[in-house]
Amino acid sequence: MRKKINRFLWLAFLVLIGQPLFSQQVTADVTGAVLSEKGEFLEGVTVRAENASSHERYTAVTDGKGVFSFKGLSVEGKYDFTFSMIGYESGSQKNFVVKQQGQKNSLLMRLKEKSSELNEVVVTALGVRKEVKKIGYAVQEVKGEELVKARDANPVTGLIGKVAGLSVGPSAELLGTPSLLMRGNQITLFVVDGVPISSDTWNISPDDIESYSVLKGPAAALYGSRAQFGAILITTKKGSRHKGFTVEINSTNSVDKGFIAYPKTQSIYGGGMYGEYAYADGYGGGVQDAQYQLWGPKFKGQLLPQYDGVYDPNNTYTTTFGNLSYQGHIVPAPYVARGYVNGKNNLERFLRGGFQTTNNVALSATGDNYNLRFSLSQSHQTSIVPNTGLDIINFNMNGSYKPTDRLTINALMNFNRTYTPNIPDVIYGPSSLIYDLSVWTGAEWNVDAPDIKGVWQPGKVNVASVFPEHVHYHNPWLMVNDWLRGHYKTDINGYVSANYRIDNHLNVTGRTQVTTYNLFRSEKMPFSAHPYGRALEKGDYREDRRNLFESNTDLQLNYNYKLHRMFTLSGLAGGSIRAFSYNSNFTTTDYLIEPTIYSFSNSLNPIQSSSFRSDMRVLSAYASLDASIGRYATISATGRVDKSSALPTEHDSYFYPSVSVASVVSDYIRLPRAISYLKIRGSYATVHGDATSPTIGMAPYNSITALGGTTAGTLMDNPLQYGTNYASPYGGPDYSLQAVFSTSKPYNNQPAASPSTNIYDPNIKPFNRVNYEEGFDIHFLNHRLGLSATAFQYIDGPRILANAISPSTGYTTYYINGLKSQKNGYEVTLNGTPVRGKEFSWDVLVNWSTFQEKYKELPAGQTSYNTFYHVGDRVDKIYSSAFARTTDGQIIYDKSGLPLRNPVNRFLGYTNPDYTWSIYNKFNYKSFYFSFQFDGSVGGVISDYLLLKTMVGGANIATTEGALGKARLDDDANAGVSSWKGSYVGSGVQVSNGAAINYDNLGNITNYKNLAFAPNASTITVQNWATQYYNTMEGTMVTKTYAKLREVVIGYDLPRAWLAKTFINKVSLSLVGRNLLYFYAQNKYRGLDVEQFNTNVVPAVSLATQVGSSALQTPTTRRFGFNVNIVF
Amino acid sequence: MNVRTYSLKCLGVAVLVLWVFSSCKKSFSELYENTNKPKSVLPYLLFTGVLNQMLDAPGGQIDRTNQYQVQNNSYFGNNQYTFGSGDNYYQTLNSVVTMEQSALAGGAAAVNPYEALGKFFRAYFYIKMSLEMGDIPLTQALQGAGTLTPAYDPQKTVFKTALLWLDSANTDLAALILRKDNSLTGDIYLANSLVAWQKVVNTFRLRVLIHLSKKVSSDPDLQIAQQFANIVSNPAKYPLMQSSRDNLQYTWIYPTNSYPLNPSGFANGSLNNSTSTYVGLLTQLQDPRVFVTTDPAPGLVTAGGSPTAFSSFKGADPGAAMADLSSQNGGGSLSYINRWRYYSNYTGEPSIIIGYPELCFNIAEAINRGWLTTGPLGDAAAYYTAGIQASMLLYGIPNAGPMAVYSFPQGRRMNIDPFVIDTVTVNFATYYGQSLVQYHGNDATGLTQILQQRYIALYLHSGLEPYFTWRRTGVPAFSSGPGTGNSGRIALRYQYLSADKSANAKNYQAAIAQYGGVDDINGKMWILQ
Repeated sequence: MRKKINRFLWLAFLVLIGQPLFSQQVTADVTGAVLSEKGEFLEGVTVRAENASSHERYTAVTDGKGVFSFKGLSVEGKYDFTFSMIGYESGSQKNFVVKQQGQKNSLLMRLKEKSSELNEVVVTALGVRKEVKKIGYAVQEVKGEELVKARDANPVTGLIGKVAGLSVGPSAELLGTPSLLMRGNQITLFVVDGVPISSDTWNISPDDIESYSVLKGPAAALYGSRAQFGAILITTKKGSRHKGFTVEINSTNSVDKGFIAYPKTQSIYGGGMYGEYAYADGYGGGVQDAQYQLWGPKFKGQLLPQYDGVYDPNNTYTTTFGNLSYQGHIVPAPYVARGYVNGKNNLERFLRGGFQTTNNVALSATGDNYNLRFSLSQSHQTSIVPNTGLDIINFNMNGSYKPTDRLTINALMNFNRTYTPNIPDVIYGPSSLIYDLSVWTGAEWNVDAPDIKGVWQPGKVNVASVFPEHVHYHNPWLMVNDWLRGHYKTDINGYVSANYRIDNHLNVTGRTQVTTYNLFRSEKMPFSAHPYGRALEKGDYREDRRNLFESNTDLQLNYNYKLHRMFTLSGLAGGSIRAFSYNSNFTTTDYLIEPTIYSFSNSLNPIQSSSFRSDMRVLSAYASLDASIGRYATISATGRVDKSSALPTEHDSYFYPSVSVASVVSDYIRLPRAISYLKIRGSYATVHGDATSPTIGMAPYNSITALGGTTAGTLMDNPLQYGTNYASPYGGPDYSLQAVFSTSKPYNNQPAASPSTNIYDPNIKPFNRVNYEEGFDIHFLNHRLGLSATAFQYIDGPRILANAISPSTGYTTYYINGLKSQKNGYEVTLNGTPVRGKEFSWDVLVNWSTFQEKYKELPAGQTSYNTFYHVGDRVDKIYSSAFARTTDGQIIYDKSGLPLRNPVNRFLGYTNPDYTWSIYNKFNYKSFYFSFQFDGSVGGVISDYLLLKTMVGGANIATTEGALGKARLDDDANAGVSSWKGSYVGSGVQVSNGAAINYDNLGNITNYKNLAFAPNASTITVQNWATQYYNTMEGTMVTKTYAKLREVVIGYDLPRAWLAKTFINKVSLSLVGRNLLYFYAQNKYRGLDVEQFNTNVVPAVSLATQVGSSALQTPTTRRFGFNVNIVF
Repeated sequence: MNVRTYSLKCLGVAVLVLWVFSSCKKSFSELYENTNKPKSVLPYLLFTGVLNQMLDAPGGQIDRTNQYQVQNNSYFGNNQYTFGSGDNYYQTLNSVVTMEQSALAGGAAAVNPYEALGKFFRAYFYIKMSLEMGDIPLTQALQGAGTLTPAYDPQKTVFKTALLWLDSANTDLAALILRKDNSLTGDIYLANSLVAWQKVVNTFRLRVLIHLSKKVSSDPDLQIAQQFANIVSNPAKYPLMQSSRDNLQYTWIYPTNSYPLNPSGFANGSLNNSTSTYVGLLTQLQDPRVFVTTDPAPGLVTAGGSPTAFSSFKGADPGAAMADLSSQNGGGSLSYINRWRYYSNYTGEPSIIIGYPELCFNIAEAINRGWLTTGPLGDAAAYYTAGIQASMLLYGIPNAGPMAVYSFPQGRRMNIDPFVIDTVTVNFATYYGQSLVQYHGNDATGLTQILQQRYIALYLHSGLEPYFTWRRTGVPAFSSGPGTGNSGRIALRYQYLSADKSANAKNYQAAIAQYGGVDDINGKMWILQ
């Protein structure tokens, strides 16, 4: 119907414009119009007319009504007209004979939408390129070039907000690994050009990446268990398509400056406790002069013995706090906020502006039968923490050669060295300077003071450092200049593949690949350092060496047959071998003999060492089939069988099927005009997992007991009592399904053993996940606007479940197949071009996603799981310490004015956000463009560990404001008064009739009827109140809702005219910004950059945290930079 | 080169590469094995492991539960009796079972040292768990996947079974000693001496019987008094410890096993105070042990008190609110643990697990209760006196004469400044001559005296024995209040191991039915009824 109307309009139009042209001439005008197949007039179509005999050429462009005209064409001349426009197949009208002026010299051309725009091709599993319209699942591709301008320090965090359903938690720490959650599960598989590589995300060079494609659920089934939670496929850049030699230079220089998350701490009170402090030795000899908190005296110029005071052995000086008199030999000096200078505290003056430079030169050469690309990248990052930084060198070589028409040989070699002589350890503990500077020390010392900067005590150089405290805290200059943690990792991955085209239907590819790394980490701990377990302060030296080698070799046959006009079959069949081997050793001194000699031969007590090795093999066979039924549908099926040595041999083989259907409805049903494309899709897959771990720590299955760390018998055993156990990529067996004895030397170096605490179901089978995904893609207004919507359901389980069993069995854990949960989620992507003009255009991309996971089936015989969880409960419920409350929700206080804690953990909220979102806009105006992205998430809660520690420790500025601040002044005035009971009254009630509170097993109060309540009237000191209140998790729960202005790019491409006479083809310059604005409720008190905690498992900072809790972090900053891209 | 040969060569290269990298030398089952850890071990290694589990180290929560020490800074802890789960020794017991099996597999006779001590370990750990939690799984326990949901046995069954094991252990050890078996190795306590272990077994059996003091008349089938009397009166068959040299104790050594309180943690010393429950008793009795174990309150000394006057020693009230304790400590009015004894070196004192002084008081208590009238040492007063003297000896307190006492006033720097040394004169006869100390006779007052001295002697030793004894006898009076939490009540039991709530729910519910369906820390278990 619509078409008919269009035709009518067109005829009317022709009549109108044809009217005035009558008289006979040698030349005549030819007019016409161009329509799309759907009848829309097309603007901007280039129309070329060529005289068939004289070869004279004319060009015209259609206007807003789709009309073009040529004036002065030769009457009776034969012309060939060609019509071309991006996005449409070109049309032609040959041998058009021009009639006399006034006769019907008109042309009507219909252009077919080019499939190429719809037939957008994306990379799918095993590197197979497929047309989007034939894919039965959601797939989103990100162009590499989008991530190389406003780049982050980490190569992968640029993916934030770019893909619906992918949550990226960037680490705030140098060399931290971002968490990449696809639909709530950690993605651990990175695939380069079809083959998996081992990656810590730092060994990927963004400049060598053509595109990232994120396989979500069912899409990854062809990769087997390593892709059970999705995969990131990386397609590397190849030599250019154009013949010749191209050089591309890309350089970004950026500075990190201006904090977006910074802990706001007070500088009114110094270190100490209960308002008291007097220095004797920093080891506890004085009054609260060791492991103090920031509950010390107010800075008011009073005389107090301090760390840099003069020691006078012949006199004693008395310092009095209330009833307490302290006599010592340090001459008291005025107590002032010396660490607070020009409005900046010690941390702020200690940190400096960060700087990063990333430079890449890529050469590519393309000939008739070859294609080469060489690329060298270099990146240097200077961290905001002094004397720390990170360097990366990356070589990439990529070549393809076609000796014959049928044979193509490809090879890639990537070398990456990520190295630094010093990275900070950010964790909750004395080894971390953030612990030191953000939480526990204050303005009682000055980071810029010459004695502090000089680090060492006079006459005790390299032996004893200068600092007010020597038990838990460290001089930060000692920490960054003397306590060095090196990291040297060399990654090599590469492959050689050969593709042979047997005929037009069959080709075969053989490929062998290697991915390997060598990691050397060292720690030089100076004398005077005293992390947990190292109280003797005699230094240490440690080496952690890890080697991984993996090769994947596969052979695959690709086929493509057209059986019938209606049916085409294509796909592949193949097999692969994965061989894996890993070994590591960890060696440490047990204190040093001589300071600064970091060598094992300098160990005071016997050297301690641990080693680990593992091997693994996986044999796989796989096949896929895509069957297209005309234009109606494409049905795809894949299957993969794995035989893995990481499972007990009886059940070491498993099969992963997947089926998907895609149908482009708009290809066979006429839809309203506004809809230019509609595809529906659905898919199903089952994936399995074996007993492997994606990461590994420094001393797996270690049995060192001398240092007091863990000897639990896992891949993440930390032989030390402190520090981050760096997790490096692994992908090998975790040995979790076999019972071994643990050995240790718990007493006097005498060996001891204990049996495994685990038992195993002998028939245990691999983890099982069933995925379903449904969705549609719809384009409106001539593809101006696209909407992609996806729903997915995952049924996880039966898992390989480490189920807690009754300890009275003699074991704690029974490995069984059990526990099912179901995850339901939705993802929506909207992309469009609201404005597309010749000079100005506006593109927009919106991603939105949400999911919830609930328990579906508990282990056999159980009605609850982990005490609190029942069928139908969300798996991300947080149960933790909470206040005892009245029926109307008021906090119950005890007689001393402390809030009462419920003896049973209570429900405190959900960790996962309700949804996450991102909006990306890009405006082009002539040679300028401007793009920016906002993203964030809404909902979910987390315990703010920094808030907890700064409130409990007296550092938070909130302890000096409002009612707390007022009461704190009273506490200070009464420091040392034995009878002082504080003046703060917490908000809540007290039991007024002396009755005891009774609780049931779930923490519900069972005798409310016997309890009479009256408002809390007991006064208490701020320190005691805050310690109780904020040590209760409920008091520290904060929202995870945040938004960020993630990136801003203002770019300018130098006009081609300027470059026309030079050898340079393209120059673009851009100003870039990253993480410019951070929107978070009460950021002032919290200093929490919440996005990094998108998972319960906090990467890089794994100790001292609980489920649903954040960890300490380095303050995060804005990043501003300048990017130059030159092609010649 | 034509295309065919070329591609064949490529294929050849591919196959070669495949062969090189896959290196299929090992089978899948070989690759599966974790070669980093052993799959079986010799019995002595398990024995050593089990022995290490017997220690309850001082310096932690146990000292607060026993009301020997309090925290004064709520950041580092509190003094509340908000008990969670009791100890899980089932894994240790599984080690015991594995040790026994490993010994037999290694060719040992049916009666062998690991088997005999295995019985002792079972009794020791089951009793400890039952004292903490009440009824616990025993008969159906330790069967792994064989019985995933073991039923809870009544506490009486646990005690009855344990007493039989101990009797059997004594018999087996006697047989082994007789045949001069020397196959025991891996001992960290008693130098692999079966003779010494036999004394430990019988001494421990008296402790178990004493815990049943409320059950003598109600449960005559247990023959509590008779067993006790039988053991004490038959030293040939049931050898007992003769002195503190026979103690089962953990000796701290440097650098591998430092005493938990030591110079490196000196700053922790001021986070804890000694209690009024302990210090108050010592000063009330004018007991010289206070000078050894406790520092005078710094504020009382600077205010003019003598460091050797009992009045300068003031304990903190464990029932007081944390806020009050922190103010009192901040004002210097509370005593600390004696820093010279407990913080000036890395070996502290050996931590007694089962010791001779306790044995003396247990026998004295049994005589006081009329379970027997006399033992080889004599009457209740003789055992009472022997217990006190054994305890004094452990603290190096002379029978009579001058004694150096060390204190550490504020402003001293550990390892730099010397301790203050004073001298006090002690005399056991004078001490014992006080009416509060002199044994009053086999009556309630005499019993209280025995239990007070037992409490003093167990200072920082023998795990929760002081708490268990308070629970059973009320001696010495434990203080309660806002500081002890739990609405002013001192909890009577630990909760069950929390995994049972989900994993053994039916049996767990059945076990807590006696407490009204709540895993109630205030519930009264069988031995207390």
